[in-house]
Amino acid sequence: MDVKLFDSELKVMTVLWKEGDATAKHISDVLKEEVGWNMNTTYTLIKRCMKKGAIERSEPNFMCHALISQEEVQKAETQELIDKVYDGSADKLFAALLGRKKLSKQQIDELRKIVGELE
Amino acid sequence: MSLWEMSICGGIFITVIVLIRGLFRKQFPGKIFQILWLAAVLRLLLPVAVPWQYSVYSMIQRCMEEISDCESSENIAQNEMFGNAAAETEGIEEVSLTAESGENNAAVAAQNAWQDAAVFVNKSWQEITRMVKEQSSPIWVCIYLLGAVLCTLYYVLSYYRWHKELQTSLPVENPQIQAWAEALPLRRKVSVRQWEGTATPFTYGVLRPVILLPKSLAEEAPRQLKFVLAHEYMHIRRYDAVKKIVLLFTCCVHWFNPLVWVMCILANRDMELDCDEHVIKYLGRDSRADYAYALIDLEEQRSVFLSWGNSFSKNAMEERVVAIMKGNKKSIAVGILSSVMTAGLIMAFVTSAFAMGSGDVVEQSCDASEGADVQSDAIAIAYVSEDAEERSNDTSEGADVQNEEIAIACASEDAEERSNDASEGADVQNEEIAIACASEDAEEQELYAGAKFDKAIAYAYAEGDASEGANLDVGVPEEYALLGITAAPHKGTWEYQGKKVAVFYDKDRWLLTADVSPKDAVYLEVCRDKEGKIEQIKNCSKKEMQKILKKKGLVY
Repeated sequence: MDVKLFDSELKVMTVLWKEGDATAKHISDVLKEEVGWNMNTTYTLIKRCMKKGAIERSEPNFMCHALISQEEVQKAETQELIDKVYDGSADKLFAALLGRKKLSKQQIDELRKIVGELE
Repeated sequence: MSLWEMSICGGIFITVIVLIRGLFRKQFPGKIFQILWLAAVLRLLLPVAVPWQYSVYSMIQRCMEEISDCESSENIAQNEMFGNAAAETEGIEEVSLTAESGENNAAVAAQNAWQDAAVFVNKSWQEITRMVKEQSSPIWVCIYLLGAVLCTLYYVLSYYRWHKELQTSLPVENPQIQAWAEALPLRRKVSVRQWEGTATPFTYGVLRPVILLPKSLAEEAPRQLKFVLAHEYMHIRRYDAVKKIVLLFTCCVHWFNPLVWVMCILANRDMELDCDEHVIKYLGRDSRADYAYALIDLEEQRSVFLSWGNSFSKNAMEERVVAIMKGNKKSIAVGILSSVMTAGLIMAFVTSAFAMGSGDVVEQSCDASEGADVQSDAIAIAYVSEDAEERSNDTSEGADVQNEEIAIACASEDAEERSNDASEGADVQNEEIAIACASEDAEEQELYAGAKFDKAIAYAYAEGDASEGANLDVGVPEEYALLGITAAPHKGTWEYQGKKVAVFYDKDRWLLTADVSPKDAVYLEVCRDKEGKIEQIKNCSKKEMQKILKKKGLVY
């Protein structure tokens, strides 16, 4: 099984690994205490884990069950997060919201040179 | 002020700021530009402006008037009515003709060329204001609203989406960072969290600001961290998140104006520069180079994904780095100079034209001066058709200027406004005359009949257009009826010896003008003896009548 998870999703899994099967409500309560997430955020993450096949949910009470063990899981690379979760539009949106774009290696070097000269 | 006028005036102001920025960015403190951009945003968003004599728009207006004066003195003969469009074009031709004939004389030619240019500017201004007025047609309003809504929706949705995503961030575990955040001298509680979705640290939230660090920064806490946190802290302290939101909102409102987008980009850059300035102040000047390197390092981290760069961003980054390194202490003299300059600019550009709030009034004053050779006695004609407030303002403003002005309020549709105008115009001083031009509504006539104030005279100007004036009936006072004047039935005009009365003038008592074709029109002046008894009724030519009225400072 090849499941790649992000830090936030791992956090959800950790609760399940530590406490065994738990209701979504319970996970949410634990994480609210631990990392300050609200219910919606936790539920969104549980849904993402389900989609990736890491969690199975059953009635009643949205009982969650971990389908993979801590050893099986792989860390997702940040770049994949940008590409998959945000359709690769992360940069576009940030550029729009924050007004910034990336620079090339060469441009970075030029900037360093400028600082060196002015120092 | 309409949105279009706000956008045009704001655009002019932005252009000026961009120029100043190009010239003095390095010399002036960052605060100056923050204030200037704020002023530009206010100009763009506030629908009111304080009229000021030395506002740039007053100056423009004065220039326009002078130009129009020149023009009208040249072709006064052609201008029969309130300077209509045809007469205006004739004016241009005439000017260009004189330009041709004066070719031998270089000085004259140059002067004429200048005048030509001035007339052109005048025309384009009028053209713009005319266009702007036309643009308030429903289809333009719909297009505008659609654009504004789409624009707003785009930003609101992307903010919502990102906000939801940012919620999944995790608290930073480094106790030093947590301790730093808690020790901040701010009333708002700042939380520092880490999020693997970003390679750049940034801040979001206004009331409960959150500093989001990229995972590497938060976990490894390298030497850059100190600078990053100081930088974000300055953003929070200076409420830059609010400024960004206001800027984006301004863009959404003025989405059709590219200059506003330019402002948004440059203001964001200036925000960073100003923030850097404060970081240096906060950390000490010795840390300048380290700070600059830290910024570049962070840029590098986020640049791993793209092989190509964006020269625009590079310029912005270079601007920042150079500003950080070169940012020497601003002397008091520069501080004072820049402050004075800023204050002057704001006063000149954020205020509006004196006595004239909007472009169409400028046009009107041009009309007035074109229609008659206006000199010392200012005649302000507010010819407005729909908007109530504007009209009454214009009238009263126009009448404030000097002793002997005449405020003519031409109203066309709305009953209430017209009576306001008449009374306002007549209230102002001893000898003003308020002419209320009525066109459609019969009821109004009664208002004019009753509008005789002690010394002021209210004239009823009935438009002679047969179809329009169908409901009008201007009654003939008895003493005039004795002279043989009759009211044309349902035409809104008077008749004399079978001809229509174009102008009926009885000094200080009655003035009636009607828009009738000159062919079968008569121009009548009532002559009275010293006791005020009517001696005779004089049938004058059109030219004579114009002369008489002009002598009295009236326009026809």
